Amino acid sequence: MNKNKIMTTVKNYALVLMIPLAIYLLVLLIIPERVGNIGAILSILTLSVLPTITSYGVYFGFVSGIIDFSVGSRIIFSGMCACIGGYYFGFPGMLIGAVVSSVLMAAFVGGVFAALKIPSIIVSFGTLMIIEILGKYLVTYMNGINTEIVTSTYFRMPDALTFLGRVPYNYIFLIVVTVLFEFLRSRTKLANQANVVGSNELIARSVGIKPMRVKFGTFLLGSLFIALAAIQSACYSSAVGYKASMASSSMVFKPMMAVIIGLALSGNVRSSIGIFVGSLSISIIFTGIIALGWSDAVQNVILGFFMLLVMGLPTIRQFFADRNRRKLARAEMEKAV
Amino acid sequence: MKKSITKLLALLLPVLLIVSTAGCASGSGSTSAKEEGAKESAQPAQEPQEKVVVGGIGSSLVSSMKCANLNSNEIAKTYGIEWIPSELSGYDDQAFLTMYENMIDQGANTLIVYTFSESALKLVADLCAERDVNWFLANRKITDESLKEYVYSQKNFLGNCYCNETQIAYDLVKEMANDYGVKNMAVIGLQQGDINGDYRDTGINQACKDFGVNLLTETRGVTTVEDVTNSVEGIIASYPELDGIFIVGGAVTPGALAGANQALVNHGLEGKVSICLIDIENGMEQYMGEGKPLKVCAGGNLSLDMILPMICIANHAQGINLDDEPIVLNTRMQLLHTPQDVVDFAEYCENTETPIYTGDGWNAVVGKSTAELQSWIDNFNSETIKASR
Repeated sequence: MNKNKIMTTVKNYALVLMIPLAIYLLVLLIIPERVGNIGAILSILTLSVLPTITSYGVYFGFVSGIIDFSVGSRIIFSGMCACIGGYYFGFPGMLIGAVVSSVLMAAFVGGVFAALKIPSIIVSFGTLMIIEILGKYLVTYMNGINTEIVTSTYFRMPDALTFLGRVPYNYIFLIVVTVLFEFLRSRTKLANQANVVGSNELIARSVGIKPMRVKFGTFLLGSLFIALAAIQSACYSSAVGYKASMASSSMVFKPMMAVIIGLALSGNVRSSIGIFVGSLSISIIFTGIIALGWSDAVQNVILGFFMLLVMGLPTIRQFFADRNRRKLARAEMEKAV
Repeated sequence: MKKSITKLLALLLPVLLIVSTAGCASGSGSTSAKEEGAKESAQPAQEPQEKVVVGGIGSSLVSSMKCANLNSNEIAKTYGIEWIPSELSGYDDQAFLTMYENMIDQGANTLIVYTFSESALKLVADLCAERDVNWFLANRKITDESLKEYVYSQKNFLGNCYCNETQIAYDLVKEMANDYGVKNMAVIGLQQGDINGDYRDTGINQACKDFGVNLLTETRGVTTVEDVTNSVEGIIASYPELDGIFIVGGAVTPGALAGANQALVNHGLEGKVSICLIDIENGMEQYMGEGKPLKVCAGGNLSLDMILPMICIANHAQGINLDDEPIVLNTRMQLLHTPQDVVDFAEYCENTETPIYTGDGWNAVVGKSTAELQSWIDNFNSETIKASR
């Protein structure tokens, strides 16, 4: 790698990392006594761990054009299975419980999507309702068998395993997951095909890619990270409660925002870093809002605006790209004339 | 030729349509008139034997609702009432209304109504008036005076029981300030629009003013355990002076207490920050006691609020307390401070396997006047129930 390339990379990373830093400095300027300490910084970092891992799970489907709201319900269900596995078989049980249940749930959602060929958003809501109820009944069923692991409403993660949700283990966990994500994203055929399918399905078909097969594959690939997010969530909170009436759908909002930010920054840095920067920025805003002591109504308005801004980012980028293209075309035409 | 046939058909078809519609309307009119006539003639003979069929929420998962379902079923069995419990499918007005309509369609002639917000109450009142169904409003105090007047004036409206939510929230903050020295408190609240949540907020704000507690910040609408942990994590990060957390509705987020506790454990603050909680949560005793954060929990009124309507309906069916005015009962929450309190409460007041009373044991409350019933509610706790069995 030549010196110029290294310099450009360093510059790009520095620029991207300026985003959360700028937000943090803004919050620091307003309330220095609240967020200007190492404890607050560590908490902000901790708050971004889980959304980042969840975002990795959302990423593969999202780039292939899938909007999936069932992610939250799958995290809850896998978290429950992780608690069961962890209770009976320790660390390996927790890992296997989470991964196996997550893959099965992903196969179910992806299978319904592939079989019925209806929009992913509808499939995700339908399956979300089913998975939420499955979780609810898993709580009831296990409550009849073992009350040490489950109350009538939530599962407990064994104390010996909750260390994974604590500093510094959660950061180490995040680094390992990030490396795994980056490897799978850049080195697997499926991840690259997902990009092609998401960009243009017709072109993908013309080069021999089967879009539906790829989309189904992204559910499975993403499910690995959903399982890891479930483990982190269960260890971080030490409990996993059931959710009903589509309440789990909101769990995907923050990760989705982080993915959009990550994609927007992917021209400058690796997607994994872009996603982490997105999650970190969101967690700084979240902590800042709490620290400011604003009422819930104001918190919702700010988060709502931020969400709209982030979700609208692709459209805004497209608008400016189109404008630049038109400008260039006009300039070239004038030159030709 | 073809054109004239088309014209003829165009003329004939509307005529046919009008004739058939009129025919159908008169047909159905005569049928319904006949049915009404039959009903009218049959009614006087059937009315005395009409069985009371009660519809209400009978969730099988939340302990309070499970306990209420168990006791309602026991009362119904003892006094010859049919009980149709339904699982709640959502918290929005439409979900509640659909559930009540379904209960009526299943044959319920009396409803135990519980709604998330007040906005559904007028619709429920109109539904019950239209379908001639008696109803009892449980666990909800109506804040809108004009709505209250409207609901209370309904001839099918049997009564209303509710807890003084403002007072209980006030008492909890008072206890946190006076007994546990809390000075800086954060609130994990219910979603705005929840009637009980709004009442509790009023009590919290007033008590904070009265006892000099600094209300640092609030977080609402938490849906998962992880949200609670995140919120507490964020609060700890921003407010090192935090020494108290008020969880306004533990039952809304299963595992909320566990999530809050874990954030404190992660920061080594479980012995320094006190938690008070509304809604008794299964398994919460592990967070109580020396060096643990949960100092006081208030609850237990939810199951009682759901059982009382059935007691009143059983009375009503027996011709007791048939005043023109609706019955109004005030429940109260119990305050639990120790793991033993929780164990006793689960054993005697909110047991999901054994009803409070069985069979004729219910005569301790059924068949009593409203004043006697209120007195029973005022003295309802683990000790009195243990003694009365």
